[in-house]
Amino acid sequence: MSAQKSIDQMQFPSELRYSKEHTWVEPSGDTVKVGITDFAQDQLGEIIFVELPAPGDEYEKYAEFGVVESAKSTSDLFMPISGEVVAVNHTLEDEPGLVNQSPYQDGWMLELKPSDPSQLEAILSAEEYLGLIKKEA
Amino acid sequence: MAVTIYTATGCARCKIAKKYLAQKGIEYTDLDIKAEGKDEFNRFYRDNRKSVYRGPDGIEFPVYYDGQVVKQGLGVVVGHACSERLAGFFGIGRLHGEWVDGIHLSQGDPEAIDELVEALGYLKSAGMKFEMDTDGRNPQVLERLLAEGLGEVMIMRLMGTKDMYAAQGYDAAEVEKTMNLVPKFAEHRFELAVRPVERADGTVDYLKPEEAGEIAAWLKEATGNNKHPFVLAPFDLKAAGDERFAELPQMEPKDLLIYRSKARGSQVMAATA
Repeated sequence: MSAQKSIDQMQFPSELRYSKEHTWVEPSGDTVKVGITDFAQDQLGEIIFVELPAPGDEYEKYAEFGVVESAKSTSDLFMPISGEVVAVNHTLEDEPGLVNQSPYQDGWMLELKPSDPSQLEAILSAEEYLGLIKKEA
Repeated sequence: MAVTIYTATGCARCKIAKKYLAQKGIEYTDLDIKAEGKDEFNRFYRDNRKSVYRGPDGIEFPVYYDGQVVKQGLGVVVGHACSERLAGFFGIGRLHGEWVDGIHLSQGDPEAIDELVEALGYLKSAGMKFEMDTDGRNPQVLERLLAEGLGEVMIMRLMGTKDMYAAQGYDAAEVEKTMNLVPKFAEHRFELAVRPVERADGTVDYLKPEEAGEIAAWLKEATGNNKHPFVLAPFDLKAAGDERFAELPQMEPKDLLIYRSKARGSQVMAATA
Protein backbone atom coordinates (compact mmCIF):
# COMPACT_ATOMS: atom_id res chain seq x y z
CA MET A 1 0.00 0.00 0.00
CA SER A 2 1.45 3.35 -0.91
CA ALA A 3 1.12 6.33 1.36
CA GLN A 4 -0.55 9.47 0.02
CA LYS A 5 1.62 11.94 1.90
CA SER A 6 5.31 12.14 2.70
CA ILE A 7 6.23 11.99 6.39
CA ASP A 8 7.29 15.62 6.22
CA GLN A 9 3.75 16.59 5.27
CA MET A 10 2.24 14.77 8.26
CA GLN A 11 1.28 16.37 11.56
CA PHE A 12 2.38 15.06 14.96
CA PRO A 13 1.28 17.56 17.63
CA SER A 14 3.92 17.89 20.32
CA GLU A 15 1.37 17.93 23.18
CA LEU A 16 0.26 14.35 22.39
CA ARG A 17 1.92 11.03 23.27
CA TYR A 18 2.24 8.21 20.75
CA SER A 19 2.38 4.41 20.80
CA LYS A 20 4.49 2.18 18.58
CA GLU A 21 1.19 0.76 17.29
CA HIS A 22 0.35 4.18 15.82
CA THR A 23 -2.24 5.46 18.25
CA TRP A 24 -2.05 8.85 19.93
CA VAL A 25 -3.02 9.79 23.46
CA GLU A 26 -4.10 13.24 24.62
CA PRO A 27 -4.15 13.69 28.42
CA SER A 28 -7.02 15.86 29.66
CA GLY A 29 -7.70 15.92 33.41
CA ASP A 30 -8.20 12.39 34.71
CA THR A 31 -9.04 10.96 31.30
CA VAL A 32 -7.24 10.69 27.95
CA LYS A 33 -8.46 10.77 24.37
CA VAL A 34 -7.20 8.12 21.94
CA GLY A 35 -7.11 7.98 18.17
CA ILE A 36 -4.82 6.90 15.32
CA THR A 37 -1.98 9.01 13.99
CA ASP A 38 -1.74 10.90 10.74
CA PHE A 39 0.78 8.28 9.62
CA ALA A 40 -1.63 5.40 10.36
CA GLN A 41 -4.60 6.97 8.58
CA ASP A 42 -2.41 7.77 5.59
CA GLN A 43 -1.15 4.19 5.36
CA LEU A 44 -4.70 2.82 5.50
CA GLY A 45 -6.10 5.07 2.80
CA GLU A 46 -9.71 6.19 2.71
CA ILE A 47 -11.33 4.72 5.80
CA ILE A 48 -14.78 3.19 5.34
CA PHE A 49 -15.43 1.55 8.70
CA VAL A 50 -14.41 1.95 12.32
CA GLU A 51 -15.36 -0.55 15.01
CA LEU A 52 -15.00 0.76 18.54
CA PRO A 53 -15.65 -0.67 22.02
CA ALA A 54 -18.49 0.31 24.33
CA PRO A 55 -18.23 2.65 27.32
CA GLY A 56 -17.49 0.61 30.42
CA ASP A 57 -15.19 -1.84 28.64
CA GLU A 58 -11.83 -2.25 30.31
CA TYR A 59 -8.57 -2.94 28.52
CA GLU A 60 -5.01 -3.77 29.36
CA LYS A 61 -2.17 -1.98 27.61
CA TYR A 62 -1.59 -3.43 24.10
CA ALA A 63 -5.02 -5.13 24.08
CA GLU A 64 -6.94 -5.07 20.81
CA PHE A 65 -9.83 -2.63 21.14
CA GLY A 66 -11.22 -2.17 17.66
CA VAL A 67 -10.76 -2.34 13.91
CA VAL A 68 -10.33 0.28 11.24
CA GLU A 69 -10.90 -0.63 7.60
CA SER A 70 -10.39 0.93 4.20
CA ALA A 71 -11.30 -0.61 0.84
CA LYS A 72 -7.70 -1.82 0.52
CA SER A 73 -6.83 -2.96 4.01
CA THR A 74 -7.95 -3.66 7.53
CA SER A 75 -6.05 -2.95 10.73
CA ASP A 76 -6.57 -3.88 14.37
CA LEU A 77 -6.37 -1.13 16.96
CA PHE A 78 -4.29 -1.62 20.12
CA MET A 79 -4.74 0.16 23.41
CA PRO A 80 -1.76 2.41 24.17
CA ILE A 81 -2.33 2.28 27.95
CA SER A 82 -4.58 0.35 30.35
CA GLY A 83 -7.92 1.77 31.41
CA GLU A 84 -11.70 1.92 31.20
CA VAL A 85 -13.50 3.34 28.18
CA VAL A 86 -15.70 6.23 29.31
CA ALA A 87 -16.81 7.55 25.90
CA VAL A 88 -16.54 6.69 22.22
CA ASN A 89 -16.87 8.88 19.14
CA HIS A 90 -20.14 7.58 17.67
CA THR A 91 -19.88 10.09 14.83
CA LEU A 92 -17.32 7.77 13.24
CA GLU A 93 -20.04 5.15 12.66
CA ASP A 94 -21.62 7.41 10.02
CA GLU A 95 -18.55 9.41 9.10
CA PRO A 96 -15.47 7.15 9.29
CA GLY A 97 -13.70 9.48 6.86
CA LEU A 98 -13.25 11.94 9.74
CA VAL A 99 -10.29 9.81 10.80
CA ASN A 100 -8.62 10.72 7.50
CA GLN A 101 -9.69 14.34 7.49
CA SER A 102 -8.99 15.15 11.12
CA PRO A 103 -7.11 12.36 12.90
CA TYR A 104 -6.36 14.40 16.05
CA GLN A 105 -9.60 16.36 16.37
CA ASP A 106 -12.91 15.18 14.88
CA GLY A 107 -11.47 11.72 14.22
CA TRP A 108 -10.76 10.89 17.89
CA MET A 109 -11.91 7.39 18.76
CA LEU A 110 -12.41 6.98 22.48
CA GLU A 111 -11.94 8.53 25.88
CA LEU A 112 -10.24 6.41 28.49
CA LYS A 113 -9.85 6.60 32.25
CA PRO A 114 -6.30 5.26 32.78
CA SER A 115 -5.88 2.59 35.43
CA ASP A 116 -2.16 3.40 35.70
CA PRO A 117 -1.43 6.99 34.60
CA SER A 118 2.31 6.35 34.92
CA GLN A 119 2.07 4.33 31.69
CA LEU A 120 1.71 7.65 29.87
CA GLU A 121 5.30 8.47 30.66
CA ALA A 122 6.50 5.29 29.03
CA ILE A 123 5.03 5.99 25.59
CA LEU A 124 6.63 8.09 22.91
CA SER A 125 6.93 11.82 22.46
CA ALA A 126 6.15 13.32 19.03
CA GLU A 127 9.85 13.47 18.26
CA GLU A 128 10.45 9.85 19.27
CA TYR A 129 7.42 8.70 17.25
CA LEU A 130 8.63 10.60 14.20
CA GLY A 131 11.96 8.80 14.51
CA LEU A 132 10.15 5.48 14.68
CA ILE A 133 8.06 5.98 11.55
CA LYS A 134 11.01 7.28 9.58
CA LYS A 135 12.67 3.94 10.29
CA GLU A 136 9.49 2.06 9.26
CA ALA A 137 8.89 4.05 6.09
CA MET B 1 -35.40 -5.28 -7.18
CA ALA B 2 -33.10 -2.24 -7.17
CA VAL B 3 -29.55 -3.19 -8.02
CA THR B 4 -26.52 -1.14 -7.06
CA ILE B 5 -23.05 -1.68 -8.48
CA TYR B 6 -20.26 -0.25 -6.36
CA THR B 7 -17.11 0.25 -8.34
CA ALA B 8 -13.56 1.37 -7.71
CA THR B 9 -12.28 4.34 -9.69
CA GLY B 10 -10.70 3.18 -12.96
CA CYS B 11 -11.74 -0.45 -12.44
CA ALA B 12 -11.78 -1.98 -15.95
CA ARG B 13 -13.36 -5.20 -14.70
CA CYS B 14 -16.20 -3.17 -13.19
CA LYS B 15 -16.90 -1.64 -16.61
CA ILE B 16 -17.10 -5.10 -18.19
CA ALA B 17 -19.58 -6.23 -15.54
CA LYS B 18 -21.73 -3.12 -15.93
CA LYS B 19 -21.83 -3.50 -19.69
CA TYR B 20 -23.16 -7.03 -19.29
CA LEU B 21 -25.85 -5.93 -16.86
CA ALA B 22 -26.93 -3.32 -19.39
CA GLN B 23 -26.99 -5.93 -22.18
CA LYS B 24 -29.21 -8.13 -20.03
CA GLY B 25 -31.57 -5.21 -19.43
CA ILE B 26 -30.81 -5.15 -15.70
CA GLU B 27 -31.27 -1.63 -14.39
CA TYR B 28 -28.73 -0.60 -11.81
CA THR B 29 -27.36 2.38 -9.99
CA ASP B 30 -23.66 2.85 -10.66
CA LEU B 31 -21.71 4.30 -7.73
CA ASP B 32 -17.99 5.02 -7.60
CA ILE B 33 -16.90 4.50 -4.00
CA LYS B 34 -14.37 7.29 -4.14
CA ALA B 35 -16.65 9.84 -5.78
CA GLU B 36 -20.41 10.28 -5.67
CA GLY B 37 -20.97 6.87 -4.09
CA LYS B 38 -18.63 7.33 -1.13
CA ASP B 39 -21.22 7.96 1.58
CA GLU B 40 -23.63 5.34 0.30
CA PHE B 41 -20.87 2.75 0.07
CA ASN B 42 -19.80 3.51 3.63
CA ARG B 43 -23.40 2.89 4.77
CA PHE B 44 -23.64 -0.28 2.70
CA TYR B 45 -20.32 -1.53 4.06
CA ARG B 46 -21.25 -0.80 7.66
CA ASP B 47 -24.54 -2.70 7.25
CA ASN B 48 -23.16 -5.63 5.23
CA ARG B 49 -19.56 -5.88 6.39
CA LYS B 50 -19.79 -9.56 7.31
CA SER B 51 -20.99 -10.41 3.79
CA VAL B 52 -18.30 -8.48 1.96
CA TYR B 53 -15.29 -10.50 0.81
CA ARG B 54 -11.79 -9.13 1.29
CA GLY B 55 -8.88 -10.65 -0.57
CA PRO B 56 -5.17 -9.92 -0.21
CA ASP B 57 -5.69 -6.68 -2.16
CA GLY B 58 -8.72 -5.55 -0.20
CA ILE B 59 -12.39 -5.53 -1.18
CA GLU B 60 -13.03 -7.32 -4.46
CA PHE B 61 -14.79 -5.07 -7.00
CA PRO B 62 -17.26 -4.79 -8.60
CA VAL B 63 -19.66 -5.21 -5.70
CA TYR B 64 -23.24 -6.03 -6.73
CA TYR B 65 -26.02 -5.53 -4.20
CA ASP B 66 -29.73 -5.98 -4.81
CA GLY B 67 -30.90 -5.32 -1.28
CA GLN B 68 -30.63 -9.00 -0.38
CA VAL B 69 -27.49 -10.56 -1.78
CA VAL B 70 -23.95 -9.28 -2.19
CA LYS B 71 -21.97 -10.54 -5.19
CA GLN B 72 -18.35 -9.62 -5.82
CA GLY B 73 -15.82 -9.96 -8.58
CA LEU B 74 -16.23 -9.94 -12.35
CA GLY B 75 -16.96 -13.65 -12.86
CA VAL B 76 -19.41 -13.88 -9.98
CA VAL B 77 -21.32 -10.74 -10.97
CA VAL B 78 -21.57 -11.69 -14.65
CA GLY B 79 -22.55 -15.25 -13.73
CA HIS B 80 -25.25 -14.01 -11.37
CA ALA B 81 -26.56 -11.54 -13.94
CA CYS B 82 -26.70 -14.28 -16.57
CA SER B 83 -28.58 -16.83 -14.49
CA GLU B 84 -29.06 -17.74 -10.86
CA ARG B 85 -28.47 -21.33 -11.98
CA LEU B 86 -24.78 -20.48 -12.43
CA ALA B 87 -24.27 -19.87 -8.71
CA GLY B 88 -22.16 -22.98 -8.13
CA PHE B 89 -19.85 -22.37 -11.06
CA PHE B 90 -18.48 -18.98 -10.07
CA GLY B 91 -16.51 -18.13 -6.96
CA ILE B 92 -14.23 -15.27 -6.10
CA GLY B 93 -10.82 -15.75 -7.63
CA ARG B 94 -7.33 -14.47 -6.92
CA LEU B 95 -6.21 -13.43 -10.40
CA HIS B 96 -6.52 -9.97 -11.88
CA GLY B 97 -5.83 -8.21 -15.15
CA GLU B 98 -7.13 -10.18 -18.10
CA TRP B 99 -7.71 -13.36 -16.09
CA VAL B 100 -10.88 -14.70 -14.50
CA ASP B 101 -10.49 -17.65 -12.16
CA GLY B 102 -12.60 -19.17 -9.42
CA ILE B 103 -14.60 -21.00 -12.11
CA HIS B 104 -15.43 -24.36 -10.55
CA LEU B 105 -16.82 -26.63 -13.25
CA SER B 106 -17.72 -29.50 -10.92
CA GLN B 107 -19.68 -27.41 -8.48
CA GLY B 108 -22.37 -26.02 -10.74
CA ASP B 109 -25.48 -27.44 -12.32
CA PRO B 110 -24.45 -29.13 -15.61
CA GLU B 111 -27.98 -28.49 -16.89
CA ALA B 112 -27.06 -24.80 -16.93
CA ILE B 113 -24.30 -25.31 -19.49
CA ASP B 114 -25.91 -22.99 -22.08
CA GLU B 115 -25.99 -20.15 -19.57
CA LEU B 116 -22.38 -20.88 -18.58
CA VAL B 117 -21.31 -20.71 -22.22
CA GLU B 118 -23.16 -17.41 -22.59
CA ALA B 119 -21.51 -15.85 -19.54
CA LEU B 120 -18.02 -17.07 -20.47
CA GLY B 121 -18.58 -16.13 -24.11
CA TYR B 122 -19.37 -12.57 -23.07
CA LEU B 123 -16.29 -12.39 -20.86
CA LYS B 124 -14.13 -13.78 -23.66
CA SER B 125 -15.52 -11.15 -26.05
CA ALA B 126 -14.40 -8.55 -23.49
CA GLY B 127 -10.85 -9.88 -23.72
CA MET B 128 -10.82 -12.07 -20.63
CA LYS B 129 -9.05 -15.41 -20.27
CA PHE B 130 -10.08 -18.22 -17.93
CA GLU B 131 -8.40 -20.41 -15.37
CA MET B 132 -10.91 -23.10 -14.44
CA ASP B 133 -10.88 -26.10 -12.17
CA THR B 134 -12.61 -29.43 -11.89
CA ASP B 135 -12.58 -32.27 -9.40
CA GLY B 136 -13.67 -34.78 -12.05
CA ARG B 137 -17.42 -34.36 -11.97
CA ASN B 138 -19.34 -32.84 -14.90
CA PRO B 139 -17.09 -33.95 -17.78
CA GLN B 140 -19.85 -32.88 -20.19
CA VAL B 141 -19.21 -29.29 -19.14
CA LEU B 142 -15.53 -29.58 -20.09
CA GLU B 143 -16.48 -31.17 -23.42
CA ARG B 144 -18.78 -28.29 -24.27
CA LEU B 145 -16.26 -25.64 -23.25
CA LEU B 146 -13.61 -27.32 -25.40
CA ALA B 147 -16.02 -27.29 -28.33
CA GLU B 148 -16.72 -23.59 -27.74
CA GLY B 149 -13.03 -22.70 -27.38
CA LEU B 150 -13.51 -21.43 -23.84
CA GLY B 151 -10.80 -21.87 -21.25
CA GLU B 152 -7.06 -21.30 -21.38
CA VAL B 153 -6.01 -23.03 -18.16
CA MET B 154 -7.63 -26.15 -16.69
CA ILE B 155 -6.69 -27.52 -13.29
CA MET B 156 -7.94 -30.89 -12.13
CA ARG B 157 -7.94 -31.00 -8.36
CA LEU B 158 -7.74 -34.68 -7.53
CA MET B 159 -9.77 -35.47 -4.43
CA GLY B 160 -8.43 -38.94 -3.63
CA THR B 161 -8.14 -42.50 -4.79
CA LYS B 162 -10.79 -44.19 -6.92
CA ASP B 163 -12.22 -45.70 -3.72
CA MET B 164 -12.39 -42.28 -2.08
CA TYR B 165 -14.31 -40.87 -5.03
CA ALA B 166 -16.65 -43.87 -4.91
CA ALA B 167 -17.18 -43.36 -1.17
CA GLN B 168 -18.46 -39.88 -1.93
CA GLY B 169 -20.84 -41.23 -4.53
CA TYR B 170 -18.87 -39.97 -7.52
CA ASP B 171 -18.83 -41.95 -10.75
CA ALA B 172 -15.28 -43.17 -11.49
CA ALA B 173 -16.05 -43.34 -15.23
CA GLU B 174 -16.95 -39.61 -15.18
CA VAL B 175 -13.76 -38.79 -13.32
CA GLU B 176 -11.70 -40.79 -15.81
CA LYS B 177 -13.42 -39.04 -18.71
CA THR B 178 -12.46 -35.73 -17.14
CA MET B 179 -8.86 -36.92 -16.73
CA ASN B 180 -8.77 -37.39 -20.50
CA LEU B 181 -10.37 -34.03 -21.26
CA VAL B 182 -8.15 -31.90 -19.04
CA PRO B 183 -5.00 -32.31 -21.22
CA LYS B 184 -6.94 -30.94 -24.20
CA PHE B 185 -6.88 -27.43 -22.73
CA ALA B 186 -3.99 -25.24 -23.86
CA GLU B 187 -2.47 -25.24 -20.37
CA HIS B 188 -3.35 -27.76 -17.73
CA ARG B 189 -2.19 -29.54 -14.63
CA PHE B 190 -3.31 -32.13 -12.13
CA GLU B 191 -3.12 -31.03 -8.51
CA LEU B 192 -3.21 -33.23 -5.45
CA ALA B 193 -3.54 -31.46 -2.11
CA VAL B 194 -2.28 -33.76 0.63
CA ARG B 195 -5.42 -33.32 2.69
CA PRO B 196 -6.89 -34.87 5.80
CA VAL B 197 -9.07 -37.89 5.07
CA GLU B 198 -11.89 -39.20 7.22
CA ARG B 199 -11.49 -42.97 7.30
CA ALA B 200 -14.26 -45.56 7.39
CA ASP B 201 -13.77 -46.02 11.16
CA GLY B 202 -14.30 -42.30 11.74
CA THR B 203 -10.64 -41.46 12.38
CA VAL B 204 -9.01 -38.59 10.51
CA ASP B 205 -5.47 -38.62 9.17
CA TYR B 206 -3.58 -37.31 6.19
CA LEU B 207 -3.71 -38.95 2.81
CA LYS B 208 -0.91 -41.52 2.85
CA PRO B 209 2.08 -41.42 0.47
CA GLU B 210 0.97 -44.82 -0.89
CA GLU B 211 -2.44 -43.33 -1.67
CA ALA B 212 -0.77 -40.48 -3.57
CA GLY B 213 1.03 -43.17 -5.55
CA GLU B 214 -2.28 -44.93 -6.15
CA ILE B 215 -3.86 -41.71 -7.45
CA ALA B 216 -0.94 -41.10 -9.80
CA ALA B 217 -1.25 -44.68 -11.05
CA TRP B 218 -4.99 -44.22 -11.62
CA LEU B 219 -4.27 -41.14 -13.73
CA LYS B 220 -1.71 -43.10 -15.76
CA GLU B 221 -4.08 -46.03 -16.22
CA ALA B 222 -7.03 -43.82 -17.21
CA THR B 223 -5.10 -41.68 -19.70
CA GLY B 224 -2.29 -43.96 -20.85
CA ASN B 225 0.14 -41.17 -20.03
CA ASN B 226 2.75 -41.02 -17.26
CA LYS B 227 4.01 -37.52 -18.06
CA HIS B 228 1.20 -35.23 -16.95
CA PRO B 229 2.01 -32.01 -15.09
CA PHE B 230 1.27 -33.31 -11.57
CA VAL B 231 1.62 -31.02 -8.57
CA LEU B 232 1.51 -32.00 -4.90
CA ALA B 233 0.51 -29.25 -2.50
CA PRO B 234 0.22 -29.05 1.29
CA PHE B 235 -3.30 -28.64 2.63
CA ASP B 236 -3.88 -25.42 4.59
CA LEU B 237 -5.42 -26.61 7.84
CA LYS B 238 -5.92 -23.13 9.23
CA ALA B 239 -7.75 -21.91 6.15
CA ALA B 240 -9.99 -25.00 6.21
CA GLY B 241 -11.07 -24.22 9.77
CA ASP B 242 -12.51 -27.72 10.20
CA GLU B 243 -12.88 -28.93 13.80
CA ARG B 244 -12.23 -32.52 12.72
CA PHE B 245 -8.67 -31.60 11.77
CA ALA B 246 -7.83 -29.79 15.01
CA GLU B 247 -5.45 -32.49 16.24
CA LEU B 248 -3.47 -32.77 13.01
CA PRO B 249 -0.13 -30.98 12.53
CA GLN B 250 0.18 -28.54 9.62
CA MET B 251 2.05 -30.31 6.83
CA GLU B 252 5.23 -28.57 5.65
CA PRO B 253 6.61 -28.57 2.08
CA LYS B 254 9.42 -30.98 3.09
CA ASP B 255 6.78 -33.49 4.22
CA LEU B 256 5.62 -33.73 0.61
CA LEU B 257 8.86 -35.24 -0.67
CA ILE B 258 7.84 -38.79 0.21
CA TYR B 259 4.52 -38.22 -1.55
CA ARG B 260 6.38 -36.97 -4.61
CA SER B 261 8.55 -40.10 -4.61
CA LYS B 262 5.48 -42.33 -4.51
CA ALA B 263 3.68 -40.32 -7.21
CA ARG B 264 6.71 -40.39 -9.50
CA GLY B 265 6.33 -44.14 -9.73
CA SER B 266 3.46 -43.45 -12.17
CA GLN B 267 3.72 -39.74 -12.99
CA VAL B 268 7.35 -38.96 -13.70
CA MET B 269 6.82 -35.18 -13.74
CA ALA B 270 5.32 -35.08 -10.23
CA ALA B 271 6.54 -31.99 -8.38
CA THR B 272 5.82 -30.18 -5.15
CA ALA B 273 4.16 -26.77 -5.14
